[in-house]
Amino acid sequence: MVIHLLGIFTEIPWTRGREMEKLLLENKKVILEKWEDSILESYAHDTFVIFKKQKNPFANPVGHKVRTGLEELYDVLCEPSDNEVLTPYLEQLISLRAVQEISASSAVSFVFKLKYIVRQELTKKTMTGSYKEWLAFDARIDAAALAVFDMYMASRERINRVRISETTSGRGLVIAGGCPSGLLRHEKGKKSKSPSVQSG
Amino acid sequence: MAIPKAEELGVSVVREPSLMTGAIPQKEWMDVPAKFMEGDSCYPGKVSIVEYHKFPYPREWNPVDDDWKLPDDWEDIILNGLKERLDKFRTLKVFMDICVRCGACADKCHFFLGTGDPKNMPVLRAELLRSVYRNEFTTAGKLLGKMAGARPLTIEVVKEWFMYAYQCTECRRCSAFCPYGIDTAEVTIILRELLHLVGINTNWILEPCANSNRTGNHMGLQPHTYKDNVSYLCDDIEDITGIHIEPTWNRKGAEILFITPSADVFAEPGIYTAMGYLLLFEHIGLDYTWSTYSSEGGNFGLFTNNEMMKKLNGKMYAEAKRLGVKWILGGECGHMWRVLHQYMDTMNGPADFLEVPQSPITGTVFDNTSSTKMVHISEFTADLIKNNKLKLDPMRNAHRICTFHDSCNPARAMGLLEEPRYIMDHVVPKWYEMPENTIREKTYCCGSGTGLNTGEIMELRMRSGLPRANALKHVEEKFNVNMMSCVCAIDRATLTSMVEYWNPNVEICGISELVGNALVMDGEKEERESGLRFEPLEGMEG
Repeated sequence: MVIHLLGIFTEIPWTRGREMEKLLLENKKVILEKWEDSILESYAHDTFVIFKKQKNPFANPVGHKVRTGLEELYDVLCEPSDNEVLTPYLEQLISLRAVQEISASSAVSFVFKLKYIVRQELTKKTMTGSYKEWLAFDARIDAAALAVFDMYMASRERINRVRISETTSGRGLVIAGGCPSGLLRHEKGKKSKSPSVQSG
Repeated sequence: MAIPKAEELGVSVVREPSLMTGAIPQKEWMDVPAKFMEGDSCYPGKVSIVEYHKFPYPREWNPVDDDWKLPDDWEDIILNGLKERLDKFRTLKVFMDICVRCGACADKCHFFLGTGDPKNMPVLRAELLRSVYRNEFTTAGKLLGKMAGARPLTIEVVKEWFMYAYQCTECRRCSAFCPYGIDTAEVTIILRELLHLVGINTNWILEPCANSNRTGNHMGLQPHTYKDNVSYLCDDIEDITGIHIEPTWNRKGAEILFITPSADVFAEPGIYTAMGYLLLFEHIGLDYTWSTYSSEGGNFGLFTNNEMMKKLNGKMYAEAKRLGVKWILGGECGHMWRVLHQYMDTMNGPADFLEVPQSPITGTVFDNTSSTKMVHISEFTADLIKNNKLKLDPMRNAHRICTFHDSCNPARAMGLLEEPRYIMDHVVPKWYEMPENTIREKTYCCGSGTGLNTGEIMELRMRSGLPRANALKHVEEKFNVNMMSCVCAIDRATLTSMVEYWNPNVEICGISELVGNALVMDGEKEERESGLRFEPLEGMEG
């Protein structure tokens, strides 16, 4: 999937060379750190410590996906571009959010949190830009949230397809206790390597 | 769904740390009860199945309900059961006492890494039982209570056990990191045994056990059905290679009895692995037989209790004795090999009525199996390759860019690390390892073993499969890997679902499928156009 932030709120353009864009790039590290924390802090403290500190991506897939996904989205948000952008890391993060025991609103809420964090940080840097710059940036975040929601729904669709395919392919039968008479009925019809029957 | 009121927004609209205060709910683990929702636990055992096993307290119940309809004296039953097991299993007593909570295992569990739930840290999962053990069986626990990490057994504790004993696949990755060698999988095994005593169980495990008891395999398939399906696979082999194969069934006097998970005979992609076995045995002219009675390598008794494990393991040896074979050759299974290598000998062994396995083709004596008399197909195949007994053309797998997933049990429970790699080296042109901390004895589980391969907990399985999928993603992006091989039937089924979600460009296969593809058979078609999945070989796509 791609993100295409321009074009949704065209009346509030995000153009190159603004003060806000400069500040966002200058403060990228600290903003990303806070944004990352805002997601990881939803875990218990012991988990937070591990997910935050372990930098090996294979020993800490959740921390890694949060870090890389947020950075990718941040770069898209800052970059004034008309192009569609491929965001594979962000998609992985959303795929993770889509299989966690959280509501849909919770899964995508992190995008809006960036508004709050950016306000906190840039106010400290005496951001003087006009309200129009704030509006333009907020519009980009809103557009990103919509794109992220599409990604979330695509992941939910995918997990449902996996569930169906496991049943229909016969993989679900591996240990499901299939019904022998059901299998026999199936066999009468045609040669089959992976019969699809109800368990039990 | 209710719209939050203004004052609730101060907490959070999304039940996460407040945007305004940043407050995070902080509680001691003992004070956080397990809360069940649809989709986070397996369905309970059907009444008819529980009755079939003659297990106690068959009834309709639902983990989501407050009342689990336990017997009145559930507390006594569990505590007596624990006492009995502490006396019976020295390991349990040791594992309860020696943990120093160093934390080496804390971040090693795929369930913890995928869910972030601290109770999935192996140390804490074991602590769920240890806390009760301390309270009932140690002086410090009796005197000091919570200060000594003790807590009484309550209904909430039992519910917590059910949740976390079934969020562990007994993969034993944590054990590989424990300086004391505590096998947390055995703590899970005991937790599940204790829960069975009061009728807390899952259907996904009990029904395959019942079927194995009745007809010999998880799916309850009767002999003719099982045999027919293998003959369908032989038809496909003939279409693809031109080779006609007629395997024998329940043949007394065969030299070798071959046993594999029934999934290899019925479900994709396991069937392609079975086609690989059939081609291999035909290639070398092996004197072997299939059995329709011992038609299951898997042993869900391991996930139930030790008596069931012993019983299901015993049928393989009973059938070997009945047929009068010399030894047993085992297919690509996971937990069958754990049962074989770690428990069989004390349960049903030694199998003195069988001979120490010797390859009839190479003369190699597998003295590593001198007690169990059962050889792994990868050991057998690697030996054949080493002795130049196979005609192989790895280019027939050139359309596959492979990696290898060490299946947990063969890797950690029997040390099968080199043989599959040696085979891979000879049957594919090139293959790639996943990162060092995710392979060999540190391999990550598929996330759905121990009877957790069920659709109702699909999201949970995707979380627990994340560490494996993440490592796979790395070689997928770096080397364009499109096939992950493994040596476990549950892997073949569950990793296929895992990659459909996390790595849609990758497929899953057994190593023997790659062997079958690469084998150059005497009398085969002049030009092999497709692999065992009827997929075109490289250069044959048009």
